[in-house]
Amino acid sequence: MLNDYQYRVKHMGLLSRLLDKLDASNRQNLSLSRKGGSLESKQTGSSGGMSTTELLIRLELVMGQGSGLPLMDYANEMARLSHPLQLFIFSQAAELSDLSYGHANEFLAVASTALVQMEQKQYERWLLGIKQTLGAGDLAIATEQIENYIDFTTERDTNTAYLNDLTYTLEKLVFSIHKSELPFVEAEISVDNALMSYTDNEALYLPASISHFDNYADNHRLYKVLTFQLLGQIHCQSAQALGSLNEGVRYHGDDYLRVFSTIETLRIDQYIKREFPGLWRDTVLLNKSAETGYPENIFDDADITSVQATLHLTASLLESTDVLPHLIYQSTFQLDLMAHVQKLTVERKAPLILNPTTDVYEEMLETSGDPKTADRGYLRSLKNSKGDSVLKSPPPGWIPDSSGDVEDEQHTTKHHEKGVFYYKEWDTSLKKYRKDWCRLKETLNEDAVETIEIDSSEALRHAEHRIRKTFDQLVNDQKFIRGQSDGDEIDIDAWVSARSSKSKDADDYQNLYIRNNTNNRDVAIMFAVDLSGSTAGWKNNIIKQSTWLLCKTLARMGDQYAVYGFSGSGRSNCRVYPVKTFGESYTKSVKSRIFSMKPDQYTRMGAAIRHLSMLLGKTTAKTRILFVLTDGRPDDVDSYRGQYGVEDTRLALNEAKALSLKPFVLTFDKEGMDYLPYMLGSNRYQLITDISQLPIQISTIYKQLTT
Amino acid sequence: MTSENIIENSKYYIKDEPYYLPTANEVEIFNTALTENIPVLLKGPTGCGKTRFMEYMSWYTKRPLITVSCHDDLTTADLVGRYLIQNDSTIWQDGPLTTAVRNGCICYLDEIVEARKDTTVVIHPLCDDRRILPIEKLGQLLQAPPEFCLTMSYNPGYQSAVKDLKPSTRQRFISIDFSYPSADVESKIVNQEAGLELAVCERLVKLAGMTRNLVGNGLDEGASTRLLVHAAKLINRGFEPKMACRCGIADVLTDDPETVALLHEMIETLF
Repeated sequence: MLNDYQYRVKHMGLLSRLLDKLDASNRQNLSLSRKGGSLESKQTGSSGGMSTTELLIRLELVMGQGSGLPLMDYANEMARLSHPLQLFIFSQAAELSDLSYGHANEFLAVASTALVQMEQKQYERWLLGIKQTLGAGDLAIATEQIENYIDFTTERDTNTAYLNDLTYTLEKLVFSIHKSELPFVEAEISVDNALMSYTDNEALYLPASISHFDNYADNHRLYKVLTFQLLGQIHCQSAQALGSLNEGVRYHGDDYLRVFSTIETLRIDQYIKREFPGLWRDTVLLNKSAETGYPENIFDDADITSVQATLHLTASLLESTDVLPHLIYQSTFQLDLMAHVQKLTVERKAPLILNPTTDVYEEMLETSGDPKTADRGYLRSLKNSKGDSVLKSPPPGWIPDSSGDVEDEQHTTKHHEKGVFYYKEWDTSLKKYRKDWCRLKETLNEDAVETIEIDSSEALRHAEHRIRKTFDQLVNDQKFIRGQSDGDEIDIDAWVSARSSKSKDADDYQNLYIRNNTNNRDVAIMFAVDLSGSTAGWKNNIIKQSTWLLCKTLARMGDQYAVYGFSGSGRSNCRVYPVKTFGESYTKSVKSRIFSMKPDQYTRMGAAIRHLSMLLGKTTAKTRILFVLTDGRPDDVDSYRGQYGVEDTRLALNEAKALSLKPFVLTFDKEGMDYLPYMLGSNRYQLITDISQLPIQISTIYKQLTT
Repeated sequence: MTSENIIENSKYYIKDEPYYLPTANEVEIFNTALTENIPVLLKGPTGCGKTRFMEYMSWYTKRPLITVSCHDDLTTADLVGRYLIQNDSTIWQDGPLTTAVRNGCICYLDEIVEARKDTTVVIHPLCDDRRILPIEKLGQLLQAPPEFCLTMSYNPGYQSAVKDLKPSTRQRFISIDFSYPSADVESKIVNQEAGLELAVCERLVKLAGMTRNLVGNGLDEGASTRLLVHAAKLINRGFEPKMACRCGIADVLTDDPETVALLHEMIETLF
């Protein structure tokens, strides 16, 4: 939680009061409140931003003290912005510094000016572009993108279709046909600004935006047709012609490629017409809108059944290119790229050749021991090897993974440290999972607490009594139910009663059976307790007492239950602390572990939820509940905050639901209503305003959830 | 065995041949299992034809079929039988499993993993070489006749530890795998079931294949053959194919708006 930040800074002296004041009242999730339009114009005025002093401290936290950067200048620039926008800049700078420290600095130099001038969609595209370029290792281009922010401030045309907006649907659509992932990448821009689309058989390269037509429907349609053309090239094995194409271009120049492209497009059209009639209808509509005369009868279908046939026709039509139209959706063939990927594919198949990408990263990680430093080193190494093929490869962990890996596969990685697991994380700005992004360690707290001081107050005794009473009701509910209309045994008492009844009411004879519900209760519950720094003090005491009471009384229910604490600092240092595992009984050592739970650092909630979901998913109970007890929104030392943290946690909770688990969040965060409904949906969270009521509240909610 | 325990067999017989297109050698395997008195486990996703296969085999072997749809609340008494009160006295009512054993029927426990694990244990003595059904409340050990056959089905696609069979139950059966039929066979099945022209059926099957590729990527399960038949019937009744696929397939598979939009996009590319 951010409050942990305050907790630590409190020891820094005079600045603490300033931070308390600003954070407690003003910190809001910027993205959740974004509605579009110029951000600054909507958010200044009502809430003032941070002062230059505080901005400088925060800048030093992000960029490091004594970095020699003009942080004071940046702070002065940022001081004129509103508080949410200042926080937004910090979170983006932190994210960028994960990728490239230098670029984070470049971003800070222009951020204040740039963001004020941009619309939401514009700066989203701007930042996404920068991150994707950095991910691909093109550092110089990323610098250009940062400096040329002004290009993004021009009005977005509503008739234009943007690749970013369509990537999710198109990628999944392609996946459903191709059965494996083909990433969508922005194509290079041609000199004459013509539409460029091409494939190297491992990715589909499409224009960043299409505004060829004056209406969105046709531009969107063109994206679909281009996508299927490229997919068609892969399925129809166009790349087999690579050798001949190189030869042809050498002898005849680019005309050869142009003719080949047209004829190959016509061949792919046959494939689309046959396999995807709906898309063929789109193609026809597109040609009509483009007023391109489609060469219906130029070839017999039988003439172009293979890429060899296309090559043959290309050679014969080189002298009479005027009979061929230029179709708007025909692809450009990037021979160098195709050759390069073919070479890499051969290398990958060859044994004993180490992956240079992984090597560089592993080396950096080994030397520095810090993934963040390793990322930077890795990017630097890419810069040094400019022009080398590795530049195209993102660093490990940056490999986009939208394939929705099965949970069990997530921790089966190349790393084999005991008790260490790697989990993916959702990057909301990239709309992709970052694979194996979080390193999570299970740490058993062995610090036995010798003397456990248990509050013997009347209130606690009352709470224990209430919990027992609640749970007893549950237990009693499970015995034989008499007087049922249907059941395993005859209820003799009910029969005697019916026989002796003077009224002779027919209804008395309806319910003469006993139903045994003994085994109907089949519940497993995982209590995930937030141990971030912000729970320090009396909150921690209440949490410990509640957990203790719960564990003590739950034993009588026969339900499977486990208690884990979670905290950590940064993506490489996520921690969960087993307090009681599913296989354990409630023993003295469990009690000792409960009372040795202490506030730790931050809350990277997504990784913890994924890990605990995996553990809970292994149980065999009919009802499985993931019960998260927290005091605030997801937050970590790096960019894991704001919308990023909320989105990742939301996805992690959705993944839990997909495992047939029932997540439930109990929070003390008074601002919880701002994000919990979005994160969990209705009826899956509760806000406690009076934390002293926690023990009773937990037992009541427990009853509601399990009956 | 008393006379009241003998069922009116005729009502459990399948009189008309159900349409079933074998995809491999499942008919021969099932016949052999019947001859050798080995119980059979049918595994496969929803709507792939497990129940239809059982109806077909019941018709083919001319044996009565008793089907029990298993659910969470199914108790041992629901399967074996219980005492009921009638006119101031108690009478014993056989459960479907006991009825099947007494009468030499095929007993088909549909979606067995839905039943509680303690319930499924009752079938253990029936499924090994003893072939007996202990009826505790009657103090009887019922010996199954050679004609009796126990068959169970379940969907392994749930991928949940809860919905799984105990190894001790599993290892009493032979298993027949019912994955989706090949595209050609599936098209013929849809064509036969709905009477729709084959070319459109092929497109429906292609759509189903695309949805099945999305399992784990937004969908828990792909479109079943049964769903294709539903959509085909709608088309056959004059509905526009895109509309029929949306109502019959896309909107049935998921409630997630993003995935529904994706499924609609798939339909757009095919119809």
